[in-house]
Amino acid sequence: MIETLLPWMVLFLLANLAVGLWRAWRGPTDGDRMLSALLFGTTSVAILVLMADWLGIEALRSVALLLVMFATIISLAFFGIPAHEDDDG
Amino acid sequence: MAEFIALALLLTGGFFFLAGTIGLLRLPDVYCRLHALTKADNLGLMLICLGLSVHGGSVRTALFLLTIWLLALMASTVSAHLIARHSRALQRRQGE
Amino acid sequence: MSAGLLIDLSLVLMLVGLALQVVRGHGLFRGIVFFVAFGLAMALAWARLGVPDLALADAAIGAGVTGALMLAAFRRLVELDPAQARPTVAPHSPLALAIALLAALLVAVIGLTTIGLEHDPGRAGGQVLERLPETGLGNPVTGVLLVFRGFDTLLEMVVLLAALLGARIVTAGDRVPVRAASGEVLPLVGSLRAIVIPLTLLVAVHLLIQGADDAGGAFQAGAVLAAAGVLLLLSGRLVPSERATGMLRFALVLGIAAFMLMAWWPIMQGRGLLAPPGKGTILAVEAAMMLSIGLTLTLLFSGSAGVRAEPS
Repeated sequence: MIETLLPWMVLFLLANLAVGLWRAWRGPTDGDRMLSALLFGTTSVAILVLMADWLGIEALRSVALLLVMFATIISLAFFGIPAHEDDDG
Repeated sequence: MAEFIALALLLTGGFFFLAGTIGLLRLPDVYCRLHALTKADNLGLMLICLGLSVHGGSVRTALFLLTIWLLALMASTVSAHLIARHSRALQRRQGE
Repeated sequence: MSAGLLIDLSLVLMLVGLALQVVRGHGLFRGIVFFVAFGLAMALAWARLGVPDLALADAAIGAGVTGALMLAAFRRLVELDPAQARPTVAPHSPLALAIALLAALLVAVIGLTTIGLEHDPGRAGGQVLERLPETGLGNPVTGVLLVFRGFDTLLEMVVLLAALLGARIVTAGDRVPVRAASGEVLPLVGSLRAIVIPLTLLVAVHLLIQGADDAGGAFQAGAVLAAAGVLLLLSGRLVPSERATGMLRFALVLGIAAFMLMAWWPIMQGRGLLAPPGKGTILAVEAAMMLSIGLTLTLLFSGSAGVRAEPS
């Protein structure tokens, strides 16, 4: 019974992603956009872990592990960006 | 019985992800949104990993998922700190 | 409508939508975030298609290293010209639209033709699967890369080195290398580094060894090392240096050298060029490739001649 639930959960999480991207578009600050990237990262990990079970591909868990190991790279790179005027969304 | 538990865990995890996304959209400030994202999403991820461990049944898978979740916790913590700190610095600089 | 079909449709829509948003402008930073999202969505698409090798490489490089590279470039751009950070509107161009439609048409034609082709066992794909056991490997991707089409892989390694040399020529006169995230000491990053970097080394070697029979291989392991290198550079533990040490240069060409050795050795034994080697040889050459690829990508990110460790 769980087998049928898994793809629907993946779909649900994909919908979450699509909706979360609105924040990347809107802003208003760049920090908000980074948040959207963070959302994408965490949700992708969940999707990959679910897909590993659904499709039966164990290697997808390794992909999730990789994603999560390097999730901070973007935030670190963001941190170095000097101040600039924010746009009006 | 195990199926039931796994089902409940997965569904609750999904609910928390939804909560995180709603928070990202509706809360008024970068910092509030950070709260929503890091707390709710990580909780959701934990519940999903637990549900999949119960469903899968193998100890190896469960340990793997546990490692993934722990790393996700660390990554979210550091990312949230960095984003918040940078946003604060930006805010202060604009206040001048 | 099955969930699988809906997932495929959503992924396609998301990929196209994200690509459009990256190109349309409205601010460089926004474009960069969308690009990172695009890379992640691509990894998800590969996962859905059941190709973990590509998903691995895409997750490490496309989502991590490239995103950080763009952000670093954005940072330097804003330092030089703060006006770049303001949102811009890309001008409407009917020519761009026409070209985009033509490109989409081309992809559609190729895709539909490929789907319509019959499964011919005489084709290369079938033959690879047939003769795979001869090589002692279990992963057909590794078999193609290292044995059946080894020549292409050798050339790819040379292309990678050429790209690094080209980048060095362009940046040689620069006085602004990639700086660490900031001058301040970041409290949490050190602890994260202490846990992630050793884990990365473990995962890289694991992917390398596992790649012989399962998903993984030299390129994936190298990409993982590169991401670790980028993490070290960004957090200040590795620092770009003006001069490349001899050891560094040796490591850069080690992959190519090992591969060429593997290619030439059978000639001395009397077999042909690039005759199939044993599994142990393949793993050894892949290990050398992993080092070279990781180092090359790290140096491409730092834009400097070399890197040195900075005691924390």
